[in-house]
Amino acid sequence: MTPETMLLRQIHPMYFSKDGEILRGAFKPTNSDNGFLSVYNGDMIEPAPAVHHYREQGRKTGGVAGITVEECSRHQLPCIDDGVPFPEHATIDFSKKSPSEMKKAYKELTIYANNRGLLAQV
Amino acid sequence: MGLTLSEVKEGSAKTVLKLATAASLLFPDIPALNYLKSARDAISMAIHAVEKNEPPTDHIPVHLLKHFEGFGKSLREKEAMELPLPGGTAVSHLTRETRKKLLLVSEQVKTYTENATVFGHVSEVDQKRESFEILTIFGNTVSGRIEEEHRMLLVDALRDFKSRLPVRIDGVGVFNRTGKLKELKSVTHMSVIDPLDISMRIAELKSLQAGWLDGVGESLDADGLDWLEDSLIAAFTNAPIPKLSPTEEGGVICEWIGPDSHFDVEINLLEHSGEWSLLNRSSGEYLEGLFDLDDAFAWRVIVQMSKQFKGRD
Repeated sequence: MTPETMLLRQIHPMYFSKDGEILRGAFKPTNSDNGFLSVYNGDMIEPAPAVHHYREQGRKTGGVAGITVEECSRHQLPCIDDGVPFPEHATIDFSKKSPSEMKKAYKELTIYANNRGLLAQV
Repeated sequence: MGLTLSEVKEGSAKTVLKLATAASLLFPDIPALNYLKSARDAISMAIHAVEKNEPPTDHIPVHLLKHFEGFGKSLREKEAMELPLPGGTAVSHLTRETRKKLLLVSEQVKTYTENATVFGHVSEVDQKRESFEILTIFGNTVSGRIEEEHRMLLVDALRDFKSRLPVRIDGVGVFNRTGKLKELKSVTHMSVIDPLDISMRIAELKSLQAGWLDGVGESLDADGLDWLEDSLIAAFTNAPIPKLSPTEEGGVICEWIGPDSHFDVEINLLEHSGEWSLLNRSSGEYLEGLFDLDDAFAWRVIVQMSKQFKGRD
């Protein structure tokens, strides 16, 4: 991945407001994620196929938002091209942050994503 | 001579089933009066029976239970009519739930009616058949008859289907035995609403089942959501409506997003508290704190802060 690589995040329908904004819950790792937020590596898959791939696994999405690796690095969020459990999988690492730092970081990502707009919509 | 519902006392829901007859005043010992008293007692005991999961048919024959269709139809959730039980101070409670149980005792009964509120988009208006269809926020379709006063609104809302302007419809609904709304029997109120309408979003949040977030995510407390709905409607009469979303832990986030700022309050529905945080990239500020949301002052502060967010062009 490069600093320009777009990381594609699936937005659960409940984190997509009725007037089209992406809500902060979309970028908060769940408790079982242990601080690692799953994304797709945009160098390997386009937004629309990423939606298709996600839905094929029986998971809910209202669309895909994008954050660059460089935007993550501005907030000391390492991005890992892990390729697990599928080759296009990547991770944004919040695990070293305190709860307060984590909240600030995912609010930052929410602003980037909204300024960019949805990259694919269901 | 007959039994009538004479009043629902203010501040409670104590009903008075009154023996209505001029003759009863003049001739209190006439035999018919005893029948009416027995009827009143039987109604109350039948309601009390279903409260205790006992058969109401010990008190009222099954074929007469259908008359509850005309009694208590407009009860809202958590409302109850209290009816005195014979020979004491105890009362029975006619609620939506007990009324539904009474109506559905007979297996022959496939549907029942009660007040309904529907949120969704007008997906069809058939002026030849005088009918319309609503695609509800839950993805099912509900039909109704066009009433003249709502015709233009329905046609306009259908034209706006692609722009996703939702409508709210209040009326009397026909429900199946599982409680699913099948159609609207009549409409008392219909309006086009804001896509961020608070009551509509709260209805969505109430519908979430445990595991809503891809297998995790708790359901949200219904009483807490009622409190939040009332609080938000009272506070945001003239301010940017928050975008509401659930948390994995069963809370609600009220959120406002700008091009370089973000404000949110994460609400604990059980404790009526809110963790707030404000990020402002222009000033480099990141502030956090806690609100006691039973304090009206906290809501005034939230409204004031929300006014910095005018929405996106």
